[in-house]
Amino acid sequence: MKNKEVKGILALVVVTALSFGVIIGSKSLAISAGGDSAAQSAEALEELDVSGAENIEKASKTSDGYLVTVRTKGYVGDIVMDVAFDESASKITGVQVVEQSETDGLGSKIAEAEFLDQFKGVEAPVYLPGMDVSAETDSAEEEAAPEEAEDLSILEGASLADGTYEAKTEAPDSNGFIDVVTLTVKDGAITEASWDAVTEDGSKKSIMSENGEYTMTEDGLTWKEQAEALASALIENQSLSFLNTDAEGKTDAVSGVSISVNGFIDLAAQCMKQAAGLEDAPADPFAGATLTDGTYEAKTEAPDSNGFTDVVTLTVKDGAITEASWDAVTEDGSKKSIMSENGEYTMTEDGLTWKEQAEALASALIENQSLSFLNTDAEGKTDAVSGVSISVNGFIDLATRCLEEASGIQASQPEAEEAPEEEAASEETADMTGTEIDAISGATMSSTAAVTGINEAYDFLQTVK
Amino acid sequence: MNQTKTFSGPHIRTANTTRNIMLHVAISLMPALLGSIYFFGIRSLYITGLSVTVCVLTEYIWQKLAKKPVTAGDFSAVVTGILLAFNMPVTAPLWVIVAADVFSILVVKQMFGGIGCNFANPALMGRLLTMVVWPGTVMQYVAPRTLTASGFDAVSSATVLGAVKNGGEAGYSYLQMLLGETPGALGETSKLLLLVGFAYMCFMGIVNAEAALTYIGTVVLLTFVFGPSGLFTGDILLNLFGGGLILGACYMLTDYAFASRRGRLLYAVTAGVITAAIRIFSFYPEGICFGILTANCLAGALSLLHKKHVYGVKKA
Repeated sequence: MKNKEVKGILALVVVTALSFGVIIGSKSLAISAGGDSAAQSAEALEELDVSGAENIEKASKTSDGYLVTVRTKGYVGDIVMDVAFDESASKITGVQVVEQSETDGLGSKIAEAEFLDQFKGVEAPVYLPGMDVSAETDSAEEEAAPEEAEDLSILEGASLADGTYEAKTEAPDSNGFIDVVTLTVKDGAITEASWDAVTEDGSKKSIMSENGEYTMTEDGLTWKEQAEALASALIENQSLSFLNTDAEGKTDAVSGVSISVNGFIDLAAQCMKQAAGLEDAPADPFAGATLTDGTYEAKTEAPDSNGFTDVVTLTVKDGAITEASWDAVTEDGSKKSIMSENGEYTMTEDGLTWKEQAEALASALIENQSLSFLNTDAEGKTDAVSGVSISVNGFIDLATRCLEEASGIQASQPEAEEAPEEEAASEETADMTGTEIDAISGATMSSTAAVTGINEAYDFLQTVK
Repeated sequence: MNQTKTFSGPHIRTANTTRNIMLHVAISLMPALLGSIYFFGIRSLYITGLSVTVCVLTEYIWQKLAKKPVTAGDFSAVVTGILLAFNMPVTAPLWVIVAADVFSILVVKQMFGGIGCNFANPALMGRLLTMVVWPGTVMQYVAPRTLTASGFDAVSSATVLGAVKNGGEAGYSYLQMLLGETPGALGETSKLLLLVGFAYMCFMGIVNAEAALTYIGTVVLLTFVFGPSGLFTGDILLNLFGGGLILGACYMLTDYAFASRRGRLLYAVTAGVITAAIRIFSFYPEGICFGILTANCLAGALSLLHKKHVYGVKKA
């Protein structure tokens, strides 16, 4: 018996060691397949301070330049890259993907030499064909700060009209949240204020932060408590000017608030502008516009997180919308309408399927001959069409584009649009010191993330150099 | 002193005393523990150590207070502690783990009479408690090696099964799932290391692989037949390696032993059917916890389903 135990434990140790060999071996294989180790060969001479630099994990001055480790959000998960620069801090000497979880065979190719070798010896910033490099290199905070100062000074002393005002960010942030700020003005004073953020599926950040799904630090206030503190500080001050922010968008004006408040300031300023009458409430731009006969189609440029590309088609005959359809297709051609019919795409147990809701929206558009009936709330839901519970922002956006085409307000068909864009891109190329990089076909998101990461590393170096 | 202190049946002594068996189970869990440290960092070890300590202490203090014979040293609480920690993500707050430990040992195990008398697997009941009461804290799975120095900044990511359930892509290859390079609870990600430990238990003769294999077979077969896009479209390897199936089959299911082979297989099939049904029809991607616990609770009823061999009675 004892003999057997000894044998068993020995066997366990040996097999475990072998297993770890396999696990670690497969990992290092994956890394070494991803490129040479040139990026790491240089010896670190001096660690650079990366506190305050978002996404920069580590940076150091090396014997022959700089080495920056940067983390960006890829299509599936985070991508961590080591980017090596020469002494000028602008010429890339090597890029290595340390960690990635992109789709095998598609996005994972960003770790392969074919993609990474493109960066060797080129001048940063880098960009993909058609990518707006100037927007890529400017960090959002830098852009926001001066704008804010301007906005706030306009708002000083402006009289506010009574009513409830809402402003939200146009596109979801990297975590999928759309920020919404609501202000209520009564007798010329702000009486209520709220700040929240919602995801596409309707989860509220405030609620998520309360039940622990959205946590920031172990101790300290939750996101909801901080948002509420900010809102009440705004009511107390009746102005946004008390909210001083530093470069990272943090403020020390409200105690306990450690989150970045730029989003709040931006949106609250928009609300106040509406209230002060400085910005007209959005009106239906197509009211009275004549529509040219024809069939118009608009689709989203990139698939959403579930891989769907939304498509809206409108047919105009004798100046009136006669047909409308909304569908979404995946890369492999599956249609959301069909999937929702046979139960592959379900939203709620009861209620209308996605297809039925999309059809209801389309026929409501035909009936109204305008999009202005479609009021939406913060989450992009509408109560204008009964039974429709899906988020209709996508439909509105695309239908608006169709109407734009039809009315000639923005006389640009998608096909026609491409040409000037390309021109602009080539013009930019002439002006820019950056370098164009080929994306991996079929993995634009991952390629873009990699390029963004490299540019972030470059930007960081410019700030510390 | 490998003397067992058994106060409920069976009373037939073999060389495999409770203490001895549980010691081997604990040893067999070591590869997976090392794996969790490799994948999720040293916090895995702290969590597991804390969980084991709390479990053993709870058992000891309860038995002292209740003036019962102290069996806290028989390693069963150690195994419960390890398994509970294995069911938690590395981001789980320490107080949640302590609460789950105390609940498992005190309420599920000791209040029903201690080892052998508990109606359900204590570690799974502890997990169920945390899933129901503090879901936000124990569902924040992170991908291996993404925990940053500051701890909790890591982006939580869905487990492979969770991602697929929500219509997304697995994002990991089958090899990564087998080796453990996926987001998940501490001990469940590396199927390879779990199987190594299970092989050790089989070699030592302390576990019968039949139930585990039947359970795995049932789940994989049913999820394959009733796949997401029609009959026979299930992803076998995904269901096998994607979640906690191996951990459940090898370490959770076998907590209950039926005397007869038929009873054991019936029990494993029951657990498998429920697990597969949850995976196919419900909101939960895993179903392991509910499947095994339901079978635990049905164990008594199941034993009525087949004829018992009664000794000393003439065959009718």
